[in-house]
Amino acid sequence: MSLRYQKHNRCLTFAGAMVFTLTGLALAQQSSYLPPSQSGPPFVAVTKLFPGGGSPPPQDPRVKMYQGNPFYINEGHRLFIWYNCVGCHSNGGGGMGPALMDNQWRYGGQLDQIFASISQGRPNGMPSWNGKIPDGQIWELATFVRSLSVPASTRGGPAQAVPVPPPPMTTHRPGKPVSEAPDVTSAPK
Amino acid sequence: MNRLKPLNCNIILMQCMAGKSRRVLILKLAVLLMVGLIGGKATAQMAPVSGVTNAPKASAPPDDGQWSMAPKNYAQTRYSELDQINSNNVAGLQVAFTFSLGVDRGQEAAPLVVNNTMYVVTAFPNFLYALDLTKPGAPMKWEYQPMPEAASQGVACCDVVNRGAVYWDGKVIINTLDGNTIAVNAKTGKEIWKTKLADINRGETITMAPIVVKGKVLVGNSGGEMGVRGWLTALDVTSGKIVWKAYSTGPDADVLIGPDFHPFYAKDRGKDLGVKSWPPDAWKIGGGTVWGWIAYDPDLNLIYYGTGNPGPWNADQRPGDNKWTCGIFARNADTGAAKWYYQMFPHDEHDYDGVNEEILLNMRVDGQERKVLVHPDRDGYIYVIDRTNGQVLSAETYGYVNSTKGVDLKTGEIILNPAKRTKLGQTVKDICPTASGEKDWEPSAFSPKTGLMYIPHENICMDSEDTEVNYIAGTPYVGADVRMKAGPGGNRGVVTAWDPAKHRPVWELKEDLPVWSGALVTAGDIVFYGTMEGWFKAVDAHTGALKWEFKTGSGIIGQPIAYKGPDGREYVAVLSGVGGWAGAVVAGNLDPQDPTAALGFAGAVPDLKKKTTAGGALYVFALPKA
Repeated sequence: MSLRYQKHNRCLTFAGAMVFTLTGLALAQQSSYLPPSQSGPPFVAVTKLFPGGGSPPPQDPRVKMYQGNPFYINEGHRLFIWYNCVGCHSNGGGGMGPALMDNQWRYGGQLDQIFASISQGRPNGMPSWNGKIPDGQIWELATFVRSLSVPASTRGGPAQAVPVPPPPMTTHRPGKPVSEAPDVTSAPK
Repeated sequence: MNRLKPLNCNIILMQCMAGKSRRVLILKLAVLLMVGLIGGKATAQMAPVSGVTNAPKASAPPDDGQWSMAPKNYAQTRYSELDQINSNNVAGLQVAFTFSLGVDRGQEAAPLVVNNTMYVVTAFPNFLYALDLTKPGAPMKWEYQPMPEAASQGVACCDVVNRGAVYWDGKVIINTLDGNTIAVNAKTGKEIWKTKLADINRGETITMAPIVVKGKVLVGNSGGEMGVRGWLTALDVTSGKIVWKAYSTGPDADVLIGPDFHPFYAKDRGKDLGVKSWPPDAWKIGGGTVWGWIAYDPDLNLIYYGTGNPGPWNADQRPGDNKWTCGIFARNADTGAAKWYYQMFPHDEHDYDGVNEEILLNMRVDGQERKVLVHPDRDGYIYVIDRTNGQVLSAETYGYVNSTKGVDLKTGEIILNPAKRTKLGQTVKDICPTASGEKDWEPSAFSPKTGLMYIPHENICMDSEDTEVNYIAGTPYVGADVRMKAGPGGNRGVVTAWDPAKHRPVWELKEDLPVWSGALVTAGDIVFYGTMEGWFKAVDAHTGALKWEFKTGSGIIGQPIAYKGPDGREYVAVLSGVGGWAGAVVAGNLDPQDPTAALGFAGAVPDLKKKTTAGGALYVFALPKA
């Protein structure tokens, strides 16, 4: 699995990589040191049902920073092993916990929803990691987990040094995966 | 008897397998010839293969037509003396009734039948049903819902199974996944007592089927993949209070090792080996869980059970013999005090838990009548052990093994194959048997009529790479990337009829998928077992010839039983519902594109989702009414 991200990294220009990495480190550190109440998403809905109509709350602005970003994906992968996530979810296929690479989400597949699942825990066996894993690392874990079900057709291809905002998440419907950051969506179809 | 048993099958596989197949074929031909010579009824009249092998009467009393504990009796024979269903009429077997369990996870339990009532416990959330067998369709008498913690599902290594209940003196006793043992009034379904034994926040669960010995409920924990410390405990059946608790690691006082402890081999002797055979404090998270079967010999007043794998799987993190994991304990049935212990696999590197069944037999070994236990282990050997003192009398392979080269009967040591030892950061290919073993929990049956054991098992190997793992309480503590695959020949399952007296297979049936169901054998000389595709099969106990099969709704991993109904007829019952470690891909909806999913089992059964779907139902069969 790590191979495909190494491929991304190879494609980065040196300057781009430096900017990218430094920015990433600064941001990761910044988010790690914020108090949990401020550094988690303010409010995350895990349903598509809003009685009488309505729409999901606005997505946490940090989603744009993390999603599809190869640096955070790599960091998240490292932490995924470090914190034994791999023990339950294997290398994405699941085991004691559900598969994470099949693009089926019980509690939502948006990055902030994944953050919430890791931080809060979920009732059927997902432990709560709030206060045990720094929030910045939870964002990185969520970024890696989200990347596991990137549609195959958008994998690989030349990476761009600076990510641009992903398309609005409201287009996410079951069976139609969320598009990832442009470094991968720019790949030839 | 050879001191050092060289493996028949570990040098050049194909020749060996060919030889084995030839031998089985010759045996089959011989049997067929005899059948032909004697005539159509020959099968039923054939003399037992080994007339002197039998289960001790005290452990296996005469059959009353009921089924009050998962292994049928303390000798764990899973033999029913009912003989209405036999090889001449089994083809007419029909569904008598079915019952949906309301749970579609892996159903490993044996139904119980006592006083014309059937008791069935399901996988998590461990519903307990009582069905009235005196009424048409066996309607529900009551249902008990123990409401286990939902979070316990997240610390159950290999699906959320339950291996069955036990009946004792008006009570049905179950274990719940979240670590409680509960006694329920068998007439009313009302809870009598509930004792919390395991802590899910330390990774402990309970999945095993309890048994009751002399008024004490014996229960052990699960969680060998979570860095738990294994134990077996005895509860007073009236009050639910703990009478004794024996750990599988730690100081002698915790392991209940005292002056009565006399292991047969020098390697298992010494003070506080449960501490000294580990790096400092590693025994506290070292596994040795007790999630399998327990046998009992009333004459010797001893119970027998195996201990699970040491943790983590990455053996480099725990140099030493890792006592008392991967071995068999004999303990005083009243006090729990250890009498003897034999470690099949010191410093296990392959997850070869020692928890499989011990079938208690009296049989002739080298001309002498011996009291033995027969234990088909995960490591691929069938151990015949003198149950009075722990001496290994023989250890023969019952499938393809290359991780070891035999058992030295003089020292009791297993001889490792250096080429298959696991190492940190290196992938070792084609280790056979795989982590789930030549055979996992799925219990064998023994027929005193044929003198044969019927062993449901696997034929799976693995590639394994040890990785560093941190201990985080309540999370997995494994440290290995495992990819399983079919063993030699490509069939992933086998049912072997084994002659314990002659140390050899008599016949073998190959199954495409791993055989993860228990076996049942009856006085009608029929062996019943299920496949993960969902076929429930009846085969001739002498020849293995398929006599009848029925396709149930989901894969079968349960334990079939036979009982006498209120109408005097013989019934056969089994749960259908795929899951367990082998079926986790379906039960947990895993993604088999990742061969390491389900601790590597996904690699061996990437096709399972195309062959069965999740389910949960009881099926009961009988012959048509005369």
